Amino acid sequence: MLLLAAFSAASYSAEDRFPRVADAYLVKRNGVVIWAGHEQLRMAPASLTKMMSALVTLELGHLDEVVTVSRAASRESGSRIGLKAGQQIRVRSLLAAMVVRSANDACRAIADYYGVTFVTRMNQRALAMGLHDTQFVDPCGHDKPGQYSTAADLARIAEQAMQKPEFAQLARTERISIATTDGKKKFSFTTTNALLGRYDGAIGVKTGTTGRAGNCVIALAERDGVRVLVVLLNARNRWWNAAGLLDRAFAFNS
Amino acid sequence: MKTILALVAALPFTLAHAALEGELWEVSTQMNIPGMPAGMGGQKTRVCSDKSDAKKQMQGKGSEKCKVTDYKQSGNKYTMTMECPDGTAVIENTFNAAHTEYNGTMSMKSKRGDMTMTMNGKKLGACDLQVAQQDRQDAQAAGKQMAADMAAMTAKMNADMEMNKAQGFAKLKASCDEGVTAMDSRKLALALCQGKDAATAAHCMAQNAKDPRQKEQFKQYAQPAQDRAYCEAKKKEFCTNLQTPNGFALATKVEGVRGKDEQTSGGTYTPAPLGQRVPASSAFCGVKNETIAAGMCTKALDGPSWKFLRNCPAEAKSAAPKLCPQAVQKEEYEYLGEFCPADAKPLWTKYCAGRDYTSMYEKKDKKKLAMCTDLGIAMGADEPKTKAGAIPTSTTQAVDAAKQGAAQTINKIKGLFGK
Repeated sequence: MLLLAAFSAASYSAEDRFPRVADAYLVKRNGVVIWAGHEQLRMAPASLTKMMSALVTLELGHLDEVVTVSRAASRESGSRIGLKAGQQIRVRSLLAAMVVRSANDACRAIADYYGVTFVTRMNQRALAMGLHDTQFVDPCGHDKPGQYSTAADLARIAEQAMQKPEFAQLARTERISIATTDGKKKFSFTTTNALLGRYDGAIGVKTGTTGRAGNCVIALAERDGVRVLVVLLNARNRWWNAAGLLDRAFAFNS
Repeated sequence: MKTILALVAALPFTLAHAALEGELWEVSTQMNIPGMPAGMGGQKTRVCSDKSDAKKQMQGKGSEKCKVTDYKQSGNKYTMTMECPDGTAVIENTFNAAHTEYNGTMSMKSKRGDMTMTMNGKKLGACDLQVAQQDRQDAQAAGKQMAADMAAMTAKMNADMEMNKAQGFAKLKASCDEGVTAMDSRKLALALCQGKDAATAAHCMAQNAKDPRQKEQFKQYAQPAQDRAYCEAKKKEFCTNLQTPNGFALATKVEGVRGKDEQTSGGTYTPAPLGQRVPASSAFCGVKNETIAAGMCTKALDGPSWKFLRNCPAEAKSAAPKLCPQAVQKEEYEYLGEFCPADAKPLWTKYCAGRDYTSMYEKKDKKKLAMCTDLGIAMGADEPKTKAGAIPTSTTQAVDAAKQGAAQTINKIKGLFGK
């Protein structure tokens, strides 16, 4: 497959101060972009996709509904919490696993519960946000043809998702336990976000890793009224670079 | 006033026949002072007076210091002149035939001005002299106590004011120190009575007030000369520091001048150029911001002021050949990470490569953690890329179509073989 770089017509005028940090990156301080590089480049979003999946789930509501885990969900690959087909578990709990642990089985269980229109809803939501460089094929972020987004679009999705209190709470959760509705099976897991509990002020948001996407992260931290958002797509040293950019953004203009 | 009322109340008894019981009179008075509204201060009082010793009564009851210098009677009209410490009082009263009512005036000429009082008296009946005497003594005692309390309160207020003044001066002086430490020109400006905040500050009123009486009144609040000299010296120190990268950076933080928001470009922000970052501090020092900013990056390179170089990426980059070795020596990893990838790499390889953020954090080695965080920025481009890459827009659909086409072809071939 030939890979041709593609750029949207419009691009930020922000300084590309750290071109080595990732294939595409964007740093926002208090909602405005201060540094960005290839932020309009369409790339595989990996599990950052799950931010949109979570947003749609929250907007559909019915979080206390009981989901029967589908066979497809139980056979999911990648990051999983180990759900089994037939287990019954609330949407709320699956959402937690999807956001905190980036669990593909939990994500698939939600998508299957809401039906074939779930991905359509994700794309409609993206269009409604004006994200013309984002398209979803797989609700959980697997590398699929036609699945793409950009650092700029993903930053917007993150900001939207973080406005939902339930999402914001999950995004900053370091460890959590959920259980099937009959209480017989418990799942305890920790966050995939290495900055939570370690980087001063870290409050989110999401990680993602696939063969095509590389190591991706959307990191959000808040200190003394300053809020910094970092998006890294295919970062070689994901955590060092996220922390490094956050540090520099907090020190920005000082 | 008391003197006047005492005089007025006492007057009927110059006329009444000597008697042992007291007489209760209701006396209404109104004052007329030139330049003031007529008839002000209208009062009605009841007085129990000793009709048997009228002369004593006339001279007593608050008028102890007055002396009767003249006394005339003509029919029912009585005139008395008294010399008091405040001035001369002339009282004229005219009684009715039964001596149960009178109308009169009292004129007072004093250094503080002239005054006329009209009065009407009406006899109400008899009263107990002893009770009246006791009431007057109690009232006088209460008045004395109140005066003493007021004096004590005033003394305390004055003492508090003096203490507050002293504290205020100490605070002003301290604010000059703070102004230099924090590079906050507002603190110095207020102490030195400069700037808009000083317009209404008490310690500046003596200097700024236009009314001479106000100037005089606020003189006591003006900063002592030695404190002012101290703050002037601090101002000089502030202005010197403003011309250094560190001082400039601090003042920038205080002033918080916002840069350019480009909402139309998706919300980017460009910080204000150095020449626009400290307008207030520059004005305070009587210099233009652009003048102070000019050459600041060069000064930062001289230091080098590593943190300030964040503001000077072009200069920091071009000076890298000279500064990178120094940055290695001084362990300035932020500079190394951004401008010295060649120097950063060996350090990264030695201390950070292969060690993930989590495990480094768990080791609680803050220095290494900070170092790897700073150096990691430089490491990206030289390391092997993953398969990740951009998704072509124009070919996305072509790829899907190709896949579909391939699948169809395979099915056709299978069909040929009956599978």
